[in-house]
Amino acid sequence: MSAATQYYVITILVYICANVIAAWGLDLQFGVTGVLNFAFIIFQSIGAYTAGVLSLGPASASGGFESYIAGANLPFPLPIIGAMLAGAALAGVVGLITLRRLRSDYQAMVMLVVSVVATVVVTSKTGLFNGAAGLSLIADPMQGLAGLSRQTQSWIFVAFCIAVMLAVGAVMYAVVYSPHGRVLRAVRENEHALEALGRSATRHRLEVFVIGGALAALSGALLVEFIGAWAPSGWLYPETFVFFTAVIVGGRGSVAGVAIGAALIGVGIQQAVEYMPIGSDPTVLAAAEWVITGVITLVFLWARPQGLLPEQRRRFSGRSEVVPR
Amino acid sequence: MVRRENAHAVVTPGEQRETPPGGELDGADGRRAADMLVVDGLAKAYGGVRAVDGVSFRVPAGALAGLIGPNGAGKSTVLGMIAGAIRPDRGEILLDGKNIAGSTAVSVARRGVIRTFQTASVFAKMTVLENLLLGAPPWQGERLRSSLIRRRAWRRAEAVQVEEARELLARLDLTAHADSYAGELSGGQKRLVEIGRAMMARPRLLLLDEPMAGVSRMLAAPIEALIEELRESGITVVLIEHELGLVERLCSPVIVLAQGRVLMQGEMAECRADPEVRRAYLVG
Repeated sequence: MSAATQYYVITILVYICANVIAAWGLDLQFGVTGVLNFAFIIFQSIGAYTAGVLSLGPASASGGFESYIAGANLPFPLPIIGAMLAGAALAGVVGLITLRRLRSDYQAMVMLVVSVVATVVVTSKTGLFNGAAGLSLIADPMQGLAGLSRQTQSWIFVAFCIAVMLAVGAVMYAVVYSPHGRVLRAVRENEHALEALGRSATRHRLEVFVIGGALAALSGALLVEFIGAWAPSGWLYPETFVFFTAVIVGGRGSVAGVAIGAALIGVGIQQAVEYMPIGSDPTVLAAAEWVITGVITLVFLWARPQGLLPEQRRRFSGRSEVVPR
Repeated sequence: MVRRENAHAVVTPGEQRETPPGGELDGADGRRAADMLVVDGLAKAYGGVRAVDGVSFRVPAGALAGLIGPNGAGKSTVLGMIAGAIRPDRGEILLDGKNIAGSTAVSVARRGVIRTFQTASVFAKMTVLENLLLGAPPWQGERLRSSLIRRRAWRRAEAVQVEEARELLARLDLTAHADSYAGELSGGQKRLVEIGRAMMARPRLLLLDEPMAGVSRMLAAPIEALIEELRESGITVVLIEHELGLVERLCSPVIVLAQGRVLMQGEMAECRADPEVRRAYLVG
C-alpha cells in the first residue's frame, strides 16, 4: 500500500471511530432517552479544545502565535481524559439549566441557542481558544514513540481509536440492554407515567446528558489529536444535525445501527461527494454534502423512521433478557 | 352519610377548622386512626378558574372510595394533586398522617401512592412484559453503576421480577401479548397493562382515573374483577369513574364533586337519593 493510500485509510478509520463514538453519545441522549440535544456539537468541541490546550503547552511558549487558556503539556492520554471531564462538566452545567424545568421542545430551542452563543463567544473571545483562527500545531500524540516511522505511529493511533470505540460500544450495550436502559427508554416513551412509578425522568435525562457530553468530548479529543487543529468554522450548529442524521439513518436506540449510520453519514457522504461529477470547488462540494444529508434525513423520516437497523424488541428467554450478540 | 353542610373544610389563616367529612375526629392530631388518606381544604385555581375549591374527604385504610361528578368537577385535578403531579394552592393531603401536599410525583410514588391516567399511559414502544417490569418499585439494578458492574447480581433479582410479571400477565389474560409492544394493544388491553403495572408496584394507595373509559364490554368485566380483587387484597383505592353501576357495586364511600367542591360523601345509594347530587350530576 502506498504512503498516500495508507494515509487515506488511516484518516477514514480515525474519522469513523470518532464519528461512531460521538453518534453513540447522541444516541444515548436522543435515541434511547429522547433528549433533543441540538447543542451536541459544542460538547465535541469542548473536548477538542481541551485536549488541544492540554497538549500544546503554555500559550506563552508559542511566542504570541496562539493565545488560549489553561495551556499545559500533559502526556498522552491525559489530554483525552481531561477532555472527557470537560465535556461532562459542560454538559452538567448546560443540563442543569435546561433539563430541569423546561418542556422538551423548549429544551431543544434553548440547546440550539446555546450552540449558536457558544460559537459566537469562542470566535470573539480570542483569549479562550485563539478565536476564529482556532488552535493549531497540536502535536501528534504518538510522535514520542521513538524509532518508529510516521506511518507506524499513525497506525498505532488508529489501533488506539478502534480500541476506544470498541470499549465505548461495550459500555453502550451494557447500559442499553439492562434495567437501567429500560428506564431510559421509558423516559423517552412517557415521562409522566415513569415519574408516577417513582423514577425521576429529570435525573435520568441529566445523567445521559453528562455521559453523552463526555462521549462527544472524547470524539473531539481523538479528532484534534489526529488533525492537529480545531477552529469554530468546523463546529457550527448545523454540524449537530449530521449526528442526528446518523442516528436516524442507523436506527434510534440501536447500538449497531447507529454505528453504521455514523460511518455512512459522517464519513461516507463526504467521500461519495468527492467522486460525484460536480467539479472540485470546495464550496460546491460542501453544499452538496449538506443537501445530500438533508435529503437523506427527510427520506428516512418519511419512509423508514425506524432506521436501517431498528431498535430491537426486548425479549425474555425464560426469566432473562436476551441480549443480541 | 355526611351532609354537604359539613362537607367542606377549607382552612385559611384565621379561620376555624370545620369538622372534616367522614364523621367525628379522634386522636390528638384530629385524624381517625384508620384513615389512610385525608384530604383537607384542597384548592387549585388556573388563572381565574377555581378547578378545586376547598375539597375535603377521607378514605379509610383498605377502602375502595369512588370519586364521581360531572365533567369539569375537578376529580382528575384532585387525583393529580394527591399523586403529586399538580401542586395545590392550599390544603393538606395526609397519607397515614403525613402531609404530602406539594410533594413531587416521584416522591409520592415512592411513598406507595401509585396512579393510573385518564388516558391509558403505557410505554408504547416497549413490550407488555417490560411495562410490567417498570411497575416494580425502583431497585438497585436500575442504577447506571449496576448496568456496568455486578450484572450477575441484578440478573438474579430481575429474574424474580420477570417471573412475577409473567404470573400477573397470566392473571390479566395477556400472556399471549407479553412480547407485543404496549402501543399495539387495544384501549382495554392498555388499561389492563396499566393496572397490572400498578399492581407490580405493590401500592399502599392506588389512584385509578376512569379505568373503564374507552373499554369494550368484553374487557369491562375482567377490569371490574381486577379492581374488586385489589380491594379484597387490602389495597386502599380511590377510583374516578363515570360508570355509576360499577361505583355502586364496588365503592364505599362515594365522594361527589361538582364545580370543584364536595357535594357529599356517603354510600352510592344515598348519593342517588340526594336531590342536590341528582340535580348537579345524575340528571343534569
